[in-house]
Amino acid sequence: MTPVFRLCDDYVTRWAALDPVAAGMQGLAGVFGAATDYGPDGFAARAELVTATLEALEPMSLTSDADRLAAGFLRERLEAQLAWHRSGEPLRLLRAPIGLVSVVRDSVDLLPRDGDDGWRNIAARLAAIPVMFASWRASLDAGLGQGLTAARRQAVQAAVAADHCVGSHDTLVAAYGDGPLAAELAAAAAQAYRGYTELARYLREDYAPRATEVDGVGADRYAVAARLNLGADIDFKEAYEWGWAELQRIEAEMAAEAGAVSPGASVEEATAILNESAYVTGEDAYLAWLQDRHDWAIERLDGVHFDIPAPLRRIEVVLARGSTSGAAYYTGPSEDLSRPGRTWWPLGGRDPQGRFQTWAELSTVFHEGVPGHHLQVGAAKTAGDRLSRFAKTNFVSGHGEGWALYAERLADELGWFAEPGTRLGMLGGSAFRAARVVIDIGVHLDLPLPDGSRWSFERACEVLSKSGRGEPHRIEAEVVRYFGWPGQAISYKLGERGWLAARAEAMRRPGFDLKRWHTAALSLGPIGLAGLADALAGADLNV
Amino acid sequence: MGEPSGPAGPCCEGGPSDATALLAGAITYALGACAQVAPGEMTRPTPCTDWDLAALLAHLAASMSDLESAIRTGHLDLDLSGPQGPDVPDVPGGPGPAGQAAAGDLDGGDPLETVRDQAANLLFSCYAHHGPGRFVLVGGLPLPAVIVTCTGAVEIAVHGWDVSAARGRGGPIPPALATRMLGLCPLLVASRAGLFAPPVEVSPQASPGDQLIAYLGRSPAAPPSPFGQPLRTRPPQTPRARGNCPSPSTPLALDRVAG
Repeated sequence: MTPVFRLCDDYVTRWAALDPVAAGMQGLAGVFGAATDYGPDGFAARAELVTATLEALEPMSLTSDADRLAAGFLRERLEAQLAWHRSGEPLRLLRAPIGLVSVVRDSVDLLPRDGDDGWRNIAARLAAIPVMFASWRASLDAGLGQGLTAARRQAVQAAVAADHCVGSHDTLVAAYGDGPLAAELAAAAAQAYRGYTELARYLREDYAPRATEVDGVGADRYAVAARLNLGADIDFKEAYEWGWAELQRIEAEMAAEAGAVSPGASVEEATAILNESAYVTGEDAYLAWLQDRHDWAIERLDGVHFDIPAPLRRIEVVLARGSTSGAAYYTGPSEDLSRPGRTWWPLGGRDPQGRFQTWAELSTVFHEGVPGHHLQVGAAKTAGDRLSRFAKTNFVSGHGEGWALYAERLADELGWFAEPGTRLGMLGGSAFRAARVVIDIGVHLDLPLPDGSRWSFERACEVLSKSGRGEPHRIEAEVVRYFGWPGQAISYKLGERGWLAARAEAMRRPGFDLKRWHTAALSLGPIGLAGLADALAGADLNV
Repeated sequence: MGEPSGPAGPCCEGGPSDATALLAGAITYALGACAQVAPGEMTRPTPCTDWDLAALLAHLAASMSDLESAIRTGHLDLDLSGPQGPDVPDVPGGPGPAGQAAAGDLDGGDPLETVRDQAANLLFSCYAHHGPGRFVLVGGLPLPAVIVTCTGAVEIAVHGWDVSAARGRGGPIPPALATRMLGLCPLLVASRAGLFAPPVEVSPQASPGDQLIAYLGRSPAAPPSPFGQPLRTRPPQTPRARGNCPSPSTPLALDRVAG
């Protein structure tokens, strides 16, 4: 192991000890502890680790391409993280519906359940939830004391998310059965529920009155957040204008595609037709449909368009009943591959025995599964000694979400949207992501809409609904998410743009082969968008 | 519609922030009770005549939605002549057949999710739209927004207790919250006719939560009665901005306070 690879390994090990919740989410092997310290000291310790690692990296000599790739990625990520720490964000880290509440809650579901030791760890994590939230409250209080306040909307919505979590571990506890740890697990779950309840009370009654009414974070904070999510510094005004143009382009394509559903139909009419014809009934049928489509995609890809390593040829589909996340998401396999890659599908308040529309979901299957996140994250996890441990266990949203959105486009190129309406569903998803670009940049930088008006929560919901074609039950939660998580929502479309540009560049070279290019691209592991094109240009296409 | 201006009313003398704090406490308590509800419990009877848990939650969500609209817009429409559910009986306090989401399965989804979402919207609006001189036009008459907010807080808290009682637990309203509400109730509950059963007698040593519940016509110790049997208690109701209201008759005491 070279010094750079050793530094990466050391960093991951130390970081995991300082943030065991995130370490488990990212599939690191080993048991690092039950609780993450979300208090000021905890954040400070992680910032110190980042600083020390950057200092250690600086004088290192790089002796190979793998070294240079590892060092470049480590430096880029840690510099972005350090800027985030230094801007005071840890003391106002309050976002919903995807935030610390959902991370802590969902982390329990991802803990191994093998044997009594595994279940003891689960009990310990559950019992530690009140302590973790108490430490988080200490950070938020410190932020309030320093004038670093989160938005009131996020406080109120995070309280809802916390309330939502009460009772959400019952299924897990019941899965253990009546073994010797049953009482301990039940008591731990009760402790966790008290933690959620107290957190909800704090956010609603203590924090919200003192929070800021302003949703947008402004140019300075947005630049830091966007860099963290994209791995690049970009021209936001150019991206904003591109987002509106992209939205228009997709709208035109959707209008044309609606005619394929029913001649002369508008998008709204086609949607209504599909909602009444392309669905399955009941969550069991929904789960079976999802698993079948995941399996189908792997079967179609493997050996033809990608060579998928054996451990990655199965994706576990999970209905995420207790999750507050609102949208489907992916969790990668563990380092030792004992935990499979999983896609999670929140029911989002839908009736478990009711209809589940499938026509709009197929594209998300390709996004979360293959050729999307599972293929990309899995490729890194199975890269052997070509990638550092840091690269195998980290993720750049612009790169990863960009790839996943590119994967939806690739599925279209492969003719996979043959079922009625599924291509319209893919385009709808693309419009949704384009709407995110204009909302996120527009709100946080206070840029005018094309008609000269200004953004508000209601206006953002309107744009996401009408132009982004969002499903009604997702609109408000989505907009809350963009308002509270600056720079993340743009990573999908801008990432896709980066991938498409890199591929277009590669295709201009003689002898271009798509399968080899994909393989080479994924072999690089995660990388910031700023370095993506250069890295791909220099990638070894014989991998 | 322009908002009238003037001094705040006698209720919630601490001002808008105290009223919002009262509301936040009520929401915390009510959502805590709701969090205990399992999907299979929606058909349980509640202390409210003819309402099962699903109907009670639907009513709670709709009340929150109306209150949010009132706070945000400064206007509460008491016109109850809108569309009625086909099976909603014209009975004060009666939402319709047991199990029917009478008032507000607002988005057709999980009733608990709907309650949570409406609670968040309501609280956010109260924080955003409360000011010392803010009034809400209720049926054309201006009421200080703090009174509207405090009234809503009492309703939300007592329905939280109803939810808890429906599950047989009767989780108490926190003493501090109940004490503050007890002090306000005589101002808010100006008349009981058609709204509340007479106060239930409880020991002077009863907890503030039990005293509050008893004041609003509920028996802290009595389990919910099964449907079809008349109860001595009846739920309070906020004004409804839309039709399909469980109580097409006299809404809560807001109009009387204004009068």
